[in-house]
Amino acid sequence: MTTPPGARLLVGRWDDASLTDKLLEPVQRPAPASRAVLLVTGLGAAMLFATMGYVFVTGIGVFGNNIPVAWGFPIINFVWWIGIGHAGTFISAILLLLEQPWRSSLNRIAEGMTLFAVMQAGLYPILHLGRPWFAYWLVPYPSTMSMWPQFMSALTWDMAAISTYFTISLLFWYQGLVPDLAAARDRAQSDRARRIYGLFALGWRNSAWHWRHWRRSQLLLAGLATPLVLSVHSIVSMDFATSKLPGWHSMIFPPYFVAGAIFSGFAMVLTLVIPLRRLYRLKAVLTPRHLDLLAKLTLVTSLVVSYSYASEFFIAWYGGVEYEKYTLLTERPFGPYATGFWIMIVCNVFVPQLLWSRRVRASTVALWVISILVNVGMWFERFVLIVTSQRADFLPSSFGEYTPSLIDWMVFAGTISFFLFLFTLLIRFVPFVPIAENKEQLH
Amino acid sequence: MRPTRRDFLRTLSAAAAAWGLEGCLQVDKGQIVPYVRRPPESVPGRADTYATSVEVDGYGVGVLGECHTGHPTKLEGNPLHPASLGALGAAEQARILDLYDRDRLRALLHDGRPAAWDAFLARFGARGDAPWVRRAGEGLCLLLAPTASPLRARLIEELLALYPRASVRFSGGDVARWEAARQAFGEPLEPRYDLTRATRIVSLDADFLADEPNWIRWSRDWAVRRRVHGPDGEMSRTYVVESFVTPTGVAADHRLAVPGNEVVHVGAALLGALAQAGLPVPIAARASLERSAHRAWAEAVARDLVACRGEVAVFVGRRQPVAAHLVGIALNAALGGPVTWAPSPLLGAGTAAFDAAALVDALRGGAVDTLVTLETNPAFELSPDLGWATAAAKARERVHLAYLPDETAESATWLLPALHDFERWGDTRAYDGTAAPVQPLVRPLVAGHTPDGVLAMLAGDRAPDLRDRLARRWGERLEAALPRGVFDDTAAAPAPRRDVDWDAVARALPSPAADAGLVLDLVRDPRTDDGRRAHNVWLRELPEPVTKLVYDNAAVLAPATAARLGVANEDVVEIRRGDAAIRLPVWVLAGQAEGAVAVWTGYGRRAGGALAPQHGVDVSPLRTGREPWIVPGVEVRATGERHALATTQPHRDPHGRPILLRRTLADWRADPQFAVAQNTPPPSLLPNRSDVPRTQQWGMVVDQTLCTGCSACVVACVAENNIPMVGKAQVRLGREMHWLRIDVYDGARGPAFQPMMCVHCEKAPCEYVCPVNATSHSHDGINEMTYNRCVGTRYCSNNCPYKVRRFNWLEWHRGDEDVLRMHANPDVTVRARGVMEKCTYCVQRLRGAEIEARTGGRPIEAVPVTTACAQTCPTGALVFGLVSDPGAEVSKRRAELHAYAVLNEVGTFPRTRHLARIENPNPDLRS
Repeated sequence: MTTPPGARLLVGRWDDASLTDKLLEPVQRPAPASRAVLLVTGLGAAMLFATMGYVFVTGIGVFGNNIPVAWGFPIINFVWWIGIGHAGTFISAILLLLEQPWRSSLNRIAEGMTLFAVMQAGLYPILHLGRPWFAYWLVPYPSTMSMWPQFMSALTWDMAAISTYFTISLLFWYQGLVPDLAAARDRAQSDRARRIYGLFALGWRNSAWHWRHWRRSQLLLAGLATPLVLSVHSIVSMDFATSKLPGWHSMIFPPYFVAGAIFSGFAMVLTLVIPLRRLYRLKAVLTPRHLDLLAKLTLVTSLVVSYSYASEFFIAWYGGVEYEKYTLLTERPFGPYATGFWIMIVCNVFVPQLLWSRRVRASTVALWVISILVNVGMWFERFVLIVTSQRADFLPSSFGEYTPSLIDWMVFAGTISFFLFLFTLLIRFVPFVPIAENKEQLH
Repeated sequence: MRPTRRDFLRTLSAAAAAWGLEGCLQVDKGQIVPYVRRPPESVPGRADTYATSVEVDGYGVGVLGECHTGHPTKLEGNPLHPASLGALGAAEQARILDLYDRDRLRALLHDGRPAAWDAFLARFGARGDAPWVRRAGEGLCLLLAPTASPLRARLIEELLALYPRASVRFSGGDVARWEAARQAFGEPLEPRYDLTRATRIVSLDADFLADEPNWIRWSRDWAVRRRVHGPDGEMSRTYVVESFVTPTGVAADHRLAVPGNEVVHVGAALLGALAQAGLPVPIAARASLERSAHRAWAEAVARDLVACRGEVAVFVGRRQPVAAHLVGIALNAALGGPVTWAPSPLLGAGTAAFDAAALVDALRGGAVDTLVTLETNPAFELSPDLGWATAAAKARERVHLAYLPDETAESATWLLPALHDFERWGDTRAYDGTAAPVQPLVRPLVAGHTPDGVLAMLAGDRAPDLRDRLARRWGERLEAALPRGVFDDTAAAPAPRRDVDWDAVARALPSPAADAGLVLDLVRDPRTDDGRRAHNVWLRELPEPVTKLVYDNAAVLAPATAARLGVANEDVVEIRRGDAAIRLPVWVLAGQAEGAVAVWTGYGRRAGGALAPQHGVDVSPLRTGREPWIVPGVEVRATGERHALATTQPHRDPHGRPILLRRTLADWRADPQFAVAQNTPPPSLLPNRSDVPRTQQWGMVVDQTLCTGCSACVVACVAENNIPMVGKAQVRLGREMHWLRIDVYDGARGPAFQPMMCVHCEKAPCEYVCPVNATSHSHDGINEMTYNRCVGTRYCSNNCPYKVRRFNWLEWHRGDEDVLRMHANPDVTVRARGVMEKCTYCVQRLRGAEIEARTGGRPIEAVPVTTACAQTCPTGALVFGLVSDPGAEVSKRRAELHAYAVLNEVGTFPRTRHLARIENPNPDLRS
């Protein structure tokens, strides 16, 4: 990427000490609002767990799912959250391997977002099971009855892919955090904080050996995480693509899902970063150039997603399979859930085209609004994909309708709260802009 | 202290005893001991089957009751009984559930307080203190449900011998049919059809394949001539004239939709067309033809009928007035088909005993001191203009024998608990005179009596022993009849041909129809037996065959009528006639006659069990004794309100998809191979199972030509496989649990039925997506569900192109009382919440047959076994068996040219094949 003149990744004059001070400021002098945000989102998270308890006790009949729409909100939201989780690893791992220096300011936020989004996503497949207490049967463990999962099912691989992804993301994120935790330890204002940060800093002493090992393992984990970015959502897409359902049974799904995931992930990074840099006055490290680059990548992935949409419709028409033609060319654009379809098209295809304009990319307000619209659009993409394909498939006698229940909405709102709660905790207790890596920018 | 084995067994047997006797009033405090010598007929774990019979509209139908360890769990038709031949309808099968109904009357109530039967005897027995006891029965009036029971006839005789001035009356009955026969033949006769000899069938508003008396037998016989084996085969042709779309109308080749009051005019026009063709019928009928709006239709049909003279059967529905029945008699007589006229086996048929108005007059006149109503519910069944409630209140004592606390029970002074059909001794007589014994399947759960018992008590018997009376009535023949379920050689002799009084026919011909405005067609609901079974949840959740509505009744309107009134589905309309009005929601149905509103009767009960009053609207405010079924000149207007209805199939447009293949016989002859492409498996990447050692292979064939949508199979499946009912709200959410459903699709030639259940795909899409191997393929070709292994991802349902899988969204059995669990089939798991389920081909029966074959050293082909649905199908549209046995019926049908795989192009290789619906329209008629 060529750097346009004047678009630098660090604005202002800094030395190591002042930069450390600046980036540790949110931890040492938390914004007064953070307590209120924690309270509100914490209550939302409590509602989530109460609702989950209710669902476990009563049965998933309290959702709006039915036959034919056997997968409703839980799977829509699962795919949405998993998609959001993708940009983090993309920014931290792939850009590390590609030696893109601009990732350094963003990677911690993005990775935290990944972790927390995958946590939300991971709740759903368990919650939506008829008998969630047997969820571990999807895991290949040696049981006395020699019962194994059925390895032809995409769900078995889904379980493996998501748990692997979560583990690697957690390790990668935590390991990257160690030098900064040490910095927080060294500048801790209370004994208790010093002990806690010290515990998590794993005895980091800033020696050259530490740095050498740290750098190596970061590269190794990045190497491990990179294929996961591509594989996780490919496997999630196979939950759909390996079925026979018109609208799901499609070869294009793996790349299409990965592009969509990164698209929504970038949008979510923008959604989170723009208010943060304003709130914590971090315009020096989260510069307009960072936003510009994120916006450009959003535009690129939007184009890939748009291409995938076009290809789906073309193949439905060209393939001539009656059922697919009906689902894609009649049901989606003109059926009872057409509103969702058109929201998806407008938000994912047309709105991102505004990012061609440099003025739009330079306007934080415009970028923020666009990023939110993209997330809305991507949610509707999953809604359209899941509901319209299931509600009208082969036999018209089985065509049905789907209306999410109050519980569905409560769980969805609960996961958003839980996500924001975890994210606020991150902001509050961990230097969310990497200090060490930004100091490298100085040298 | 550690319990010893003996302690454990003692506790267990005590618990078993306590559980087994719950609900009994005569608690046996004796010891429970195991069999020292097991009775040879009882094998633990194997069901016992007893032959008995039940009355349907008073006519006997033979049934076989399956009992597991003393609990009756399922009913099947008795193959030896002429009214059943092994089949049974939905409503009859659902009677098993009533046995365990928690609302049934358990004790005798006198003025609302529990009393002993001795108190009843002290009042009404031979030396009782009722005033009529010493006045030769003057003031005693009995009202019975229609019956043909020989034992009951004898008991009535005994009673009348003791009390000659008592009066015995009956409710219901096909009064118009008998009256027409009386006018035409001089006697109140009933038609007997031999549809195995009928190639042309005309139905004037008669749902003879789902609701008319004896419809099970008519369906069996109709199928004989309907079934077509190949393009060079022959099949019968059926014409139906009706208002509401009934199963018979769907199964027919031609359906003329006219309001109920015009049916008689169409019949008269048909008669006129026969006169025009030179047949010896009253020439006056030609006037009906000439002014008929359906003249071309009548002429074309008449040409066809005349050409098939001697093979034509004409049915007239029980809703129709006397004139229509007379026209039917004339048509049958003129065409000389396989229809004979014989006396009705019903007691008092065609006499004043069935005159409800006379009964009410007698009551109102104060001539009745004691009114005894036995298993009949006049307070709900009689039209309100007769004024039953006020008239009955004039009787000083109102004795009512009922199974459930119904509307008549509300004002009874003596309320007697009735025994269930399967707790009693007695007998029945079928339409053709064949008598059948009634024997109990279970010891009575309550201290109740039957109508026979009450009659015997009134006649002076203090402790009636009906088994003994039955033995005295039938002598030695009883012992021979009990295991077989019929008394041999009791059928009436063939009736002689009768001459029709043509003058009576000519007098009955309708005068020109005045414009009746909008007509309200009240339609009997065969599911709830006109409200009598509105408490039965199996029947309330059974989808109505054509609209697929459950629980509610609705104002069914043709699309044009609905558009004219400006209403759509679920809009509430007010139907008004004079001062009386009812409000109910609209359901728009293509095929419904324009200018008519069809509404099922029997809903909106005031009492009769917990479920009976729920959902639906009582139509009786608009009913009168003179016009009980067809009410002309009603006003219908939108109210602006809405009422939610629940249907199991909201979409019936096939979207042009080749799912329900249908051809006319002529088209099939022109293109005999039309279905072959859909019976040829497409290329597949999935491995074949041919490497599996070939054992026996099970399979099914669904003949869509023969399916009448009667839904007997659905209830059979419910009873056999412990299928839970979920309630209206859950049905609205799309969570009904029936494994077997009957889809209905509209077509250019009208709607058609497609029974659909798991088709047991050879390359089943459900199997490879299950992450835990909970659904897998058996060696004999069954797609199996392992409930214990299912975690409930529901991926299998998503991937099922037929959407036949059902999911336990909630714990459907929560709150079931123990007694309710007793109806469950112990051979089938009751599924917990969170697991998927679906049709298993009744695998429990197949495994039982395999064990029988193995232990008996017989080949599996020699063991008779079939699924519950195929067993009960009245037309034989469902055929199950070994597809690996080339001689099996199922293999032969699979090989027929019109067999095809539904959704063949999806590559699922279904084991169940459907046979294309073949129709035989009259080439002279366009619709």
